[in-house]
Amino acid sequence: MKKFVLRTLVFLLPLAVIGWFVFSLADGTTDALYARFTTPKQSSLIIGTSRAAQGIVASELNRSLNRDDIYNYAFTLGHSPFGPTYFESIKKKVDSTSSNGIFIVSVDPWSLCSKAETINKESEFSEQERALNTPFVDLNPNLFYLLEHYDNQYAQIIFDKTKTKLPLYLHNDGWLEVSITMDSAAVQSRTKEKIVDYKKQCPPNSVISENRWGYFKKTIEYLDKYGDVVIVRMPTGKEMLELEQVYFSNFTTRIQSFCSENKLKYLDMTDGSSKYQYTDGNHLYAPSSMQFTKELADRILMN
Amino acid sequence: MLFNSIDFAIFLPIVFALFWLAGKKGLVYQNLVIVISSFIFYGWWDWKFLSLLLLSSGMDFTLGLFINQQKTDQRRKYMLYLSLLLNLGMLVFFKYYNFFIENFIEAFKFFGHSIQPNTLNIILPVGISFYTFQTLSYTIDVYRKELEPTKDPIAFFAFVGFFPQLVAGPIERATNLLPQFYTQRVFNYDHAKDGLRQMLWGLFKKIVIADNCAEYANMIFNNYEDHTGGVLALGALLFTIQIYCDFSGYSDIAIGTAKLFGFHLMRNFAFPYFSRDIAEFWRRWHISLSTWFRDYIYIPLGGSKVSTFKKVRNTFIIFIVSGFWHGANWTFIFWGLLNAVYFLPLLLLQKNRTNLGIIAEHSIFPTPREFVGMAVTFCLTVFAWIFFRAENLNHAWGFISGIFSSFSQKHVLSDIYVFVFGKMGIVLTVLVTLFFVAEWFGRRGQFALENIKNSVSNVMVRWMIYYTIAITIFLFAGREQQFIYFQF
Repeated sequence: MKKFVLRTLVFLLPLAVIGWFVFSLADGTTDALYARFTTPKQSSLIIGTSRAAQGIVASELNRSLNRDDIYNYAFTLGHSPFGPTYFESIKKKVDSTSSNGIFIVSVDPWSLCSKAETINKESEFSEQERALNTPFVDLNPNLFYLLEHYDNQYAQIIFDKTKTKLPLYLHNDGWLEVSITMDSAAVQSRTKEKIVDYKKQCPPNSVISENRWGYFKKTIEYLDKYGDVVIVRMPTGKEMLELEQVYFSNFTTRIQSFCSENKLKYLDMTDGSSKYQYTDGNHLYAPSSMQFTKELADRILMN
Repeated sequence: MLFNSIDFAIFLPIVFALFWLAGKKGLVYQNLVIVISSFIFYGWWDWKFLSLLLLSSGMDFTLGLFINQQKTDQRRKYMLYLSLLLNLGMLVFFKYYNFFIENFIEAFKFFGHSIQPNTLNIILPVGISFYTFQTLSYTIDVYRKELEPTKDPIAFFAFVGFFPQLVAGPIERATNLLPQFYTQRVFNYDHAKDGLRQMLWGLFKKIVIADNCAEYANMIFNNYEDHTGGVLALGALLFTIQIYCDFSGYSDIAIGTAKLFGFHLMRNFAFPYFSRDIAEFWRRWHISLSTWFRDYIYIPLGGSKVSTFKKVRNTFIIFIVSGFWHGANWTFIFWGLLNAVYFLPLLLLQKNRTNLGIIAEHSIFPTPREFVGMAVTFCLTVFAWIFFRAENLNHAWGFISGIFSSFSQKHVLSDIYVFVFGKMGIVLTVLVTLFFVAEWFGRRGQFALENIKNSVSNVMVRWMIYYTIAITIFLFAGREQQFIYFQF
């Protein structure tokens, strides 16, 4: 028996070392989420969905605001709408020893919506089974994420590192840079597709959920303890903005009154939407993200 | 709990340690470890269905004793019927209730009547077909006086719930497995080492080959209207590889795991895709189920020692029942029927027991005749699997007509080439090829790596092979797919 156990362990040990080595190669090239779970706890965060993940460049914001602690912890609509999963994940990521942070919280109607038929049901928070439920958000390498949520072959971790250009790259500051073709035909086609997709998520199919709204409030209350909270409505493509205005006409009023009631800074940046380029009518194109971040920093400083 | 999960990777060493530590205290403690760990293993999916397993085990344990206590054959028979009724009743309710109701509705509709009986939202308990057949084998064997009923409930519950084979077989015969719970297990180094080797090979089959093939097979089957004939044929081929590696991979892990605990489970697959005719295929595919049907249905019906008409009838019964066992869908019944049709010529020409040995037993390559037989059998099997994989018969017909409507066109090969090298990638193609080469060279063993010691005498080289397999599993694991046979 001893011989068996010993030889099995001897066999497994090099495999564990190889596994550890491959996992330690995982970084911003690995996928659009992983690297955010490998950095230490943060005192200042950017919160939101993919608009913020791709649209706010944390390093640029740090430079403009003369800070060095802002980190982009925004994911995607599928992963990080306001709800219990994102709330718990934020709590794990915030450095609770700090009290002078800044939290840029990006809001839009979609991140507060749930499918109408799931409201008040167990299935409402469908993101619960996804990557943000990973138990640790500050481990490097993050075995828990890689074992449970990494969706490709582990060989891909090695192969992707060798590629000179990737469509997605997650920077050290948490900013997700998307490099895709930006010829007008491609952009038009992606925009059309995106609008069709989002139209399916409009009322009556999806509606603003009071449960999600409750978690949004909880998140703000929690972050407020550790620094200043700035609520931002990010710019987006013309058609997308129209869609939001038609289907969620009272959203802006509601957010504004919430912010004034709670004495929070609210920056509605949608008025400058036409200044920027979008990859798909929804997300800012990388150079526009830089431009927008600078303007965001200016607006924060002005207020 | 899935074999290819982190949970199982933690669970197995704990149970292994507890089991052998308990061995020092005695047999009962060892069996108790098996019972408790098996219930945890099963309850990991949904603890509510554990009650069903307990009910089934408790029922057959009691009925086994009752059958034995009866003085007259008539009363013994009643007890057996009760066991059949309860076990099959449970199976029919959970697995076939909605199928029957829906078909009744269709039948009434056909005759111009509309009925609206209630269908139920029933969840199929994982492994129910497997453990029901296993417990049935116990009561039938007790009835036939081939087995003394056990008075040890812990041994019986361990026999029914034995976690390595609980949810997807091999379906053990009580005469083989139950007595193994009566004797003290002694740890055997070679046996355990062989078990690990078999588990490694099973994991490779499941995680690398089956799960990767599944991704592309699903892609093709789910969008069959978008693909041309060549790609559809490739989809059928990928599913053929997937289902073999998925199920036989599970069986290898199960048998290998059992070996770690000193148990010997029956063989479930014997390289079926190297069969020279369809009869040989069925002697090599899902052996535990085929022999179950043979022992408990085919032979009681008279087997092959009856008139030709009855032989044909018995063959059709076995194949149709086998198809229906797989699921409540006409596709499975048709799949069974098709295999019966394949089998029929061999039966009528009395050639169904021609190829009993191993193909090319004393040579590296098969003879041209063997090769042709193998190729024809393989193609027939690939065709039959289309029905098995399809969602319904319309899907199957659509898929098949898609294959043949555009198969003769010029771009068939280029379509396959584009799909293989553009979508699947060269890695999977190479891995599948290497896998079949390994299976071919290992076909004389119980599993491909069993006789590696004889063919590779150098320990270092052997370890390098094991490491290569293990690293390949780690690096090239496909997206996790549920074991196909869990749904049965």
